[in-house]
Amino acid sequence: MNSMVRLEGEFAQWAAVAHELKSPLVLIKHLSDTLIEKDVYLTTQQQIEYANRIKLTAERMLRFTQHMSLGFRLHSENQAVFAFATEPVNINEVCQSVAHDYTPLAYACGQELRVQSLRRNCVAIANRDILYDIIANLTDNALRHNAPKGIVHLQASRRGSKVRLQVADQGNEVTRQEYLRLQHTIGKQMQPLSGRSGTSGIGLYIVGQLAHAMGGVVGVGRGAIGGQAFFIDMARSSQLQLL
Amino acid sequence: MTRVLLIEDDIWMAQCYKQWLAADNIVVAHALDAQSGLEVLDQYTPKAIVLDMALPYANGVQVLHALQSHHDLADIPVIVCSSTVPSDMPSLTQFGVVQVLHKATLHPRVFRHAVKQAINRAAV
Repeated sequence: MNSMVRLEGEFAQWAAVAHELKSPLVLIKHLSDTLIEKDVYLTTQQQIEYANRIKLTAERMLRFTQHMSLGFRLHSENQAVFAFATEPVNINEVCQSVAHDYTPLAYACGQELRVQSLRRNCVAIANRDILYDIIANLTDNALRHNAPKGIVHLQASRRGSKVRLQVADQGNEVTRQEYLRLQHTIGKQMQPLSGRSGTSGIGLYIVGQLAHAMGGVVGVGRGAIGGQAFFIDMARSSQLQLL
Repeated sequence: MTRVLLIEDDIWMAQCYKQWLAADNIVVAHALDAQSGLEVLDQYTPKAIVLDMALPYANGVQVLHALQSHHDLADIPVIVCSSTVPSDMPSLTQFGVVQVLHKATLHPRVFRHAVKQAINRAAV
């Protein structure tokens, strides 16, 4: 019985992954058809723009599959395969790195990516690659579901013994019912959000699992100007002298 | 000038459809969600509607219900264009759906032909 339940759960995850991969593949197909179709007229600038969109969408899919790989490794029966080290990580540097890598996508989407770093370097106990993957996934989702010409904020903050990395957008807010449910289910169950069509919830689920594996906590809040904010809280390190 | 309403939440995908229809001199009004689509319909009546079923908050079925509830909108031909589409066409026909297109296998010429057929149907 337990193995049947496990298989059903695995199938649900695979179905969710397939669903998340389908949309960008369909988009790549449509963008390619637009470039190829002889009856469709595009200026040279538009052709470059469409080719760039194909590239950015493919990159987005690659990052998503990498995110999935990390998540599946967490659930590997042989947990020893996925041992990872934690260390003092400069969270300002992680924010800047994600912003640098996602600025081309933000620009192509007609949106703005703003980083609000801490004035003084702040260090969290984390695995740098996993932390980057978490913030990158949240940023990708924020750009995907943001309002047209909106702003996505990456913000680092600290409070007591914790540091927080937050990604906030100006897109559709989750309903109150979903928001209350997310407080308990984030990282524990896949939960699609009604205001964000095309989502299966698997990305956020894996974010929560990765955060938990690092000893962190993922949460959800409201954006400063509407929209939605997702964050990760981690233990703060006092080892600034290592930076 | 012939105008069509497109309700599609993916901006890049919507721009592809606009480019395809521009080849036939069809102007597209684009709405990102169901509510915005209904607001467009308050301003003018398009010759046809192209509708994605997976929309934020309200889905395509709710849009179809809303269209049928207004006597001046109920006869606008609707083309469902979606990745997640029920194959039960007869049940959609009662909501004014004249054709169902699957995004995954959609070709620009098939899309253009479907829209032009829907427009011609509205003209009759």
